[in-house]
Amino acid sequence: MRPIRMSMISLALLSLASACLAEDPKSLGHHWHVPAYRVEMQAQICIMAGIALAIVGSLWIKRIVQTRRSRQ
Amino acid sequence: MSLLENSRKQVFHVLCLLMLAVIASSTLLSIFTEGVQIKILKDLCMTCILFGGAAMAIALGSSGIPNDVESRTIHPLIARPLTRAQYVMGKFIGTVITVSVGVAAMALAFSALIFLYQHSFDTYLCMAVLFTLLEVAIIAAIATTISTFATPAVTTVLTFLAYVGGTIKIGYVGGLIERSSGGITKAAYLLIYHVLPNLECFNLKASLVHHDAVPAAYLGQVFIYGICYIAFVLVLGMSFFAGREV
Repeated sequence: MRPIRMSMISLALLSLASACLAEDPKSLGHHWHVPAYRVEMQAQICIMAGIALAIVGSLWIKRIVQTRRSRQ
Repeated sequence: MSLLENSRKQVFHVLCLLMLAVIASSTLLSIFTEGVQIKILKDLCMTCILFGGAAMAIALGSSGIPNDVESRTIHPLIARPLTRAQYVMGKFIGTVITVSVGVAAMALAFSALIFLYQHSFDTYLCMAVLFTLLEVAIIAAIATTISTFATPAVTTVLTFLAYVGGTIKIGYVGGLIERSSGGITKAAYLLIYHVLPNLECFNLKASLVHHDAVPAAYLGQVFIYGICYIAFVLVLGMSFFAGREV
């Protein structure tokens, strides 16, 4: 039982540590070397800013319309 | 109050002790040679810190608001001069501080192990742990927001899916978008792709293991992205909770 358990533990650890066993770290393509990560972050920041601006804009327009109606 | 409430929960103690036990038992990796051993130790410990932190954020973030609503302890809180937005923000900050305490304990145990092996402190460790904490804060924000309109069980499942989806987003969902040809399918994949957080970019484990420096501009961008995502998700949660009957 003991060798089987030992081999299972070794396999589990090796699968966890597969990244660190690579000979050349650059060959792994760390995410800070991959442009897709940077592009996606910028796209998401733009989308969030766009949604926030749209909400603020719609609230502002709503307030202006309400003010005009109350004056009439 | 949220901090005290969270720190008394069993799940917090169990997860902390479990992860600390795994980190401590990683010293038993004597079957590997010295150079590989320290790399595996760093890899295993960072994985433990991330999994432990994420599990704590999901467990604590998903139960805070629904428990208060169910046990009606929210009524005296709302009766005070406290807005609903402040209440949601307080719940989120309480969850993040509680998880930070657990992550700090794990990071201390990990840095002690590194000191034992390397006889010096690793400067990359602080950076990796800080960005892991930012990733955990995003998971806590998602859990807090979903918990404003869903039950704890649904919140746990949805947050876990968001966590897994956010981790495999660029590699897997990005590949699905490239392979899909249909208009509606592609639009659905694109929606999922842009809604899910990009969690993999907070993972600086490889930098710690290989001592591969990460560009400062990239780190700055990741930090700003994390803060923006947390703020956006929390504002959504506050607006959901503002219109809800409690």
